[in-house]
Amino acid sequence: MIGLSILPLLLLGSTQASERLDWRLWSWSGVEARPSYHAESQLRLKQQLALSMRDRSGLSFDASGAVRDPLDGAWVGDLHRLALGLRGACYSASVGRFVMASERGFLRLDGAQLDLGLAPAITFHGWGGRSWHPETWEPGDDGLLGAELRVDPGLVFSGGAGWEGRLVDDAIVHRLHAFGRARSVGGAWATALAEAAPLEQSDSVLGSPARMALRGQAPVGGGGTMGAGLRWEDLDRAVQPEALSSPMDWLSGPGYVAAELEGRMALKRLTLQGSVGPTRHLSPDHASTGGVARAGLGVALGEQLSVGAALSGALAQPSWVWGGVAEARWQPGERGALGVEAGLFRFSPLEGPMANVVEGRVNAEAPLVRGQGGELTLLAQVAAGSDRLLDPWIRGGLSLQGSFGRGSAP
Amino acid sequence: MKKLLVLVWLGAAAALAADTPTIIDPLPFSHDTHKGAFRAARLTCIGCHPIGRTTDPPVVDLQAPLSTCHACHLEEVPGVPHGASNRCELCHADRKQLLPESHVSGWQLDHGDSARAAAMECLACHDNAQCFTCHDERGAMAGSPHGPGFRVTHGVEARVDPQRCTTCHTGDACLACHQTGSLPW
Repeated sequence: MIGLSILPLLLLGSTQASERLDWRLWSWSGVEARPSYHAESQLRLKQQLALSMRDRSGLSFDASGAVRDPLDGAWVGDLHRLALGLRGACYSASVGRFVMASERGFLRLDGAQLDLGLAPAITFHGWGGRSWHPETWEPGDDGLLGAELRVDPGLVFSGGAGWEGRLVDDAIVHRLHAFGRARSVGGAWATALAEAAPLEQSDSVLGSPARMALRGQAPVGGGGTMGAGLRWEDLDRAVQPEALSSPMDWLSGPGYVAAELEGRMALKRLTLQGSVGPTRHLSPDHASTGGVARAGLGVALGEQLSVGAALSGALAQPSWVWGGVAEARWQPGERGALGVEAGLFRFSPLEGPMANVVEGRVNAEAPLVRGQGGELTLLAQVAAGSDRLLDPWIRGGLSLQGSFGRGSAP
Repeated sequence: MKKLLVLVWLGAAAALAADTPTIIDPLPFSHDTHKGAFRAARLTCIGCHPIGRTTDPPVVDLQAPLSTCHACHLEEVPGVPHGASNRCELCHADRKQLLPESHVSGWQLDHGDSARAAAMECLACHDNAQCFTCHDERGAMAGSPHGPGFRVTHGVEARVDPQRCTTCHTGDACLACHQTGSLPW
């Protein structure tokens, strides 16, 4: 880690002479107040910085971190990224703290990854290290190692398969996965993923320790698309540190099948979209049918004003919620933007009586500086409403967000 | 074969350029700065300035089609050394005009599947690291991907499909909020 901290200087030194370095620095400063929360006034602060540097020879450096005061008066520091990358014609590698996008999900890793072209259409992908927690940023105790072979002939089909092993309590927990993709020239696409683990090493509820997902989308003409998906969930995602207990698991863990159907239509000034996603939980303890449905429309009223409305509902027996939101956004050119939204929901909780829940929000943003080298924007938000116990709440905040740099920003 | 591919690509680029975004005028192009690239790619004059087929006699088009630029600046052409910048703003006055039609309301929720299906399309404008500006950082630099009303509906939705939440959150994210009364930030 100490070695990594001087890498930006080395990178700067090695690339300034050639003037082939693109870089960008982001800053985000925020303050949020809740004037009355449980009869107490609260104020919290945060400062985040991120730096990305790209040398056109393929060397890169990324760092990001924050200091924040999470209400209790004790400042804490977070390290989100500290990674060195190298990219060549047939390889790429990263080392440090980073997030690895994979078919199985986002793996947050303190370690290294390597992509190596073995043949024109075949790539080896390997990774190792320790995963870290996306909320606390703390690394887990479990070491992991993985490998994957990908085949991508650049035509209609591509796919791959791999293995990952995690060292948990002196035992190696194995995972196998395979995926495939297909796409057409016309813009339709489909993906498939399967991941499995040995039964004795999984938290399978139904005795079939696997995750499987099929998903596809196709244009239907006139600016419309239709999509559909089907998932079998009987294995947790192994993309975070082990030994985390989850309230979601207590209420309703793996052991269910989920389907999804969605459509979108974009006409000249009108956008329509809707989706429905039924689920069936199959475990004897939680056998139930539920789902989520959404429908929305947006209308552009001229160049500067747009309005929209959305309905959404969810059912997880015996509780349910449904309601709607209306929103408007005014954006007078480059001078900033103002957004207003208000929602009303009818909520039937697991316990307690039915309640109406209301909330509203006002967002505003004003660019202070805007140029080719950088920009600085002031953002403000005030939100208020009542929760399901009809307790009123209000909060508001200001943030200053800016970036500056040279060359193409990553 | 390579020439055929380049021609096909140029044809496609020309078709896509039918609804051309605003180009900086005058175009910041210089033959001098491109000499090395032309030589490396073995491009002769008519490589960029095609001979018109609709005129009699055929004449050379002195105004090269703008889509020709993309042959090197958007795609990696064999023979062209590194240095053909892919910075759209070199020529395009407003990058927002280059937004694909797919980037409409709701895109934040759906882009993951599209990115997995056709990652190279994303990389035409975005860097890999851009994923992680949002995906490994807790919303500080990007707005929440959840739509209006999610604060009210998320409890039931999490019980409907808990594995969907774990795309970004760990299970103890519930406690982090419900014990302190607000999301950590």
